[in-house]
Amino acid sequence: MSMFRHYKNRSGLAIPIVLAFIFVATILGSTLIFFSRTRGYDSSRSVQRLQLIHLAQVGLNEALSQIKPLRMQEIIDKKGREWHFKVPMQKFGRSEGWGEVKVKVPGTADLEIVSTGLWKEKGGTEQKLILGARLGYYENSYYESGDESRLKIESEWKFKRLFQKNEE
Amino acid sequence: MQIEKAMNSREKGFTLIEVVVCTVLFSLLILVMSSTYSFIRRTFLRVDGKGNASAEIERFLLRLDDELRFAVDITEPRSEADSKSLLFTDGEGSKIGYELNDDGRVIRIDYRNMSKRTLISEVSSLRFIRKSPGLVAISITSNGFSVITAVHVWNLP
Repeated sequence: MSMFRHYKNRSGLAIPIVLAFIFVATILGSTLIFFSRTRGYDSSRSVQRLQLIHLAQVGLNEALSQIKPLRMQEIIDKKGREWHFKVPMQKFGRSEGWGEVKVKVPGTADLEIVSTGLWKEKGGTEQKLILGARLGYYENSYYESGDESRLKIESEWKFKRLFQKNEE
Repeated sequence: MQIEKAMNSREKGFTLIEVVVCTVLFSLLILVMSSTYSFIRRTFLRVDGKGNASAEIERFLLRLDDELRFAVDITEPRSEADSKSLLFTDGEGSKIGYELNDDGRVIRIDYRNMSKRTLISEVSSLRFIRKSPGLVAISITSNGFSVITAVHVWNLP
């Protein structure tokens, strides 16, 4: 009996109370959706960055494997002072990644590799990350044990500098 | 008389319309809340799964890169071939193997002391592709997350 007395003169309050509940629930729900979306984007960005680094690494390592067995003069004769090649496109679910590598021989003892990893999500913009390396070439030639007809050339490639850029 | 008095009373209780409208609104609220919860749960599970997979793959690749880069010989895969396992001699002369088991675990085997260690689990595919004598491409997929990378072995042409 006392409970009914408590609600006396309060008819018409039910709908405003439910609407207030809905309002609070909407705010809470939107906040949670916002946080989960932000977390999703963060995760997607870090995955993208990881993929870009690996794609650029593929190009850099492929260039190194082409360059290292050769002497500087052989590289200039076979490939010229500047050349480029592509890392084939790979599909990763709804995204695709590929790479572009440029190699320059600016002088006689230096070589620069610029490897760009590219990543594109379906409907998104193209993202890129650049990994580069500057190599130094060292050569030592001498006649083997006094025999002037047998010239021996010892060559070596060494890393001078590694660099990374997010945009070209 | 009493019934008539009760019907005319406007003092307490909810009207039928109020009850119907509230039921509909509450049902909608519960529907929206449950679908929101389900969406958030799925997002978090997917993000956590991908995050864990990418962190595990990254650790695995860093370790492999560190060892393979200074290898002096690669026995498996042979040149221009691909394989589920990798076998090489490291800079200290030890035979080291990496392989994918049938249960989805990638294990590292040190043949010098025959020690085995699981590096990463729940791997659905792992391929080692020998592109040239000194270039090994690695393709790995775990928890729906794939990475393709390559390591140049400095001591091999």
